[in-house]
Amino acid sequence: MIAIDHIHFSYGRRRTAVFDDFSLTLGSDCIYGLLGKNGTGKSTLLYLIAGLLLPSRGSVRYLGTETRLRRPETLSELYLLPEEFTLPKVRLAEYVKLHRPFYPRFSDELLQQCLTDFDLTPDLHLGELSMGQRKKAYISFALATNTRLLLMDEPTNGLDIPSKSQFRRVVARSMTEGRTLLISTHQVRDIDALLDHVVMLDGSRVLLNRPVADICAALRFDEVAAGAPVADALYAQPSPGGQQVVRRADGRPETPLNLELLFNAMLDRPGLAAEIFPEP
Amino acid sequence: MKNFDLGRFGHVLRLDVQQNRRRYLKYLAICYLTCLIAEFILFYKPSRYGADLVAVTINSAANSFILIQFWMMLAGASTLFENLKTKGGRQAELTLPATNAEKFLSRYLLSTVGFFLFYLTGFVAADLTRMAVFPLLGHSLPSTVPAFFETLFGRSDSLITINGEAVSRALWVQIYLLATLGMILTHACYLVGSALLRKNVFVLTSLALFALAVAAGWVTVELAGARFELFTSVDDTWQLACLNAVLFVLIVGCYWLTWRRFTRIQVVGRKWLRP
Repeated sequence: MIAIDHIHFSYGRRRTAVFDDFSLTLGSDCIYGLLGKNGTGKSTLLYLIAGLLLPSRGSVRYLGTETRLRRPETLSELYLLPEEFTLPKVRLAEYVKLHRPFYPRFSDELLQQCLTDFDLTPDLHLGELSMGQRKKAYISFALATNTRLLLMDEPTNGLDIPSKSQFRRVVARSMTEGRTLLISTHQVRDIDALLDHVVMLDGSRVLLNRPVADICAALRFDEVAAGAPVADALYAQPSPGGQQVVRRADGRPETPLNLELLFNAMLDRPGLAAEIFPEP
Repeated sequence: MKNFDLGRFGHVLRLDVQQNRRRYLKYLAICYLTCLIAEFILFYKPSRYGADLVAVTINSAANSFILIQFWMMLAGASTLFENLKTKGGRQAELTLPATNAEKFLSRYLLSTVGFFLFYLTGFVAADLTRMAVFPLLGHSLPSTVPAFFETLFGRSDSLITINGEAVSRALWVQIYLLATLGMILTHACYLVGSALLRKNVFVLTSLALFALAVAAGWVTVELAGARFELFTSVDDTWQLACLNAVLFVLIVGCYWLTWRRFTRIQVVGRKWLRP
């Protein structure tokens, strides 16, 4: 669905390239988590996929069409929810009325469902909402566009704890066949239960690009008491209860995915993914 | 793929108008206040005098309002890229599912035709206000609006003679074309200014054009040794035609530059030379 092919991008000739000979392929019918340290290029990658930035070399294709061309047929199947945004001071109904003609599969039912899940009323005025409420309204609109690809940049920033739980419920219920969500975040605990696939970046390197099912089948995420033997741990980090460790599953029962622990493990041992998931 | 869909263009235009209506109301208010101040300045003192001066005053005022309209159109041109000065504005514009042609034409119409309509509305409203207020002060003058439209759209005979000598129809056409292309080129320069500058577009573009005019004048006088005379005889039609051709090419160049900037804009930075 998304084919990023040997792209090169930098914010200035004299600045270090954000992506250099970077390639990545993403499929459909999936909720992807895009993880990486601050400044590693997560938002930049979303902008490149959406055609908002143009790579100096290589290509970014969505459904076979280069996104740099910014064709209406491509853009109507793609929606970007940015981290920072401004909404006009109008009623939500008016905002929807102005924008829905551009999204042929816009769903009022889905919008209503999302608003209800977020405890928002349909007759709200966008200029009279708090930041968190505006974000929830905007997330509802983005989901209601029913585009085949939805890019979300730090969607849980600014949401309170109950809202983050609402967000997970809303996203899970809005996933339909043929739809792909790509969520860029460093708030991994907010979304780890949602993800089907994990992509971890470290600059131009893809540290990990695997389905969650494969990760959980190959690795265990355990918490052990302080001082307990961890000789077989691939990675260990201290925790309030002792230590959190990543081990090979080796046929043992699966454990829930601990994205934060996995992320730290990948950063600490960049070759770990290749070690666990050797290329055929 | 259709590069221009009329229905979709209509949606883009409606979205532009609705999203920016506060800004457009502000422009309308500026046009009204400018015209109102001009109305009072132009008519307060002359309105004390006799009826024989009224027609002259009205016609003279109409020319002043046309000049103000020209400057307002230049100000309108400098707002072409107004909502693309912020990252959020660029992001919203670039992800809107419409072609570049539809998006560009929509903002072009609003910054040209739209501004013309703002000015017209402001001018008529100011004229009506003046006509309503002046009788309370003991003065009364007719409306300037008919003279304005007659001067703006009526047949111009003012260029039929130069230095008392009748010119040919062909030369008259070239002179008229020169004046028109000159105005269009000035307007196009402000479009380019809006595309290339982020802040104080109108002021900086005006300063740049002024500096360019001074430099061009200096070059012409000092280096070419020419004098400031456009016409040495009534047979200079081909010289004017060449000049008009140059102006036309410059206009096309300005519009191409503006279009190119628009199609290559990115959400971050000002990279319009990227491949």
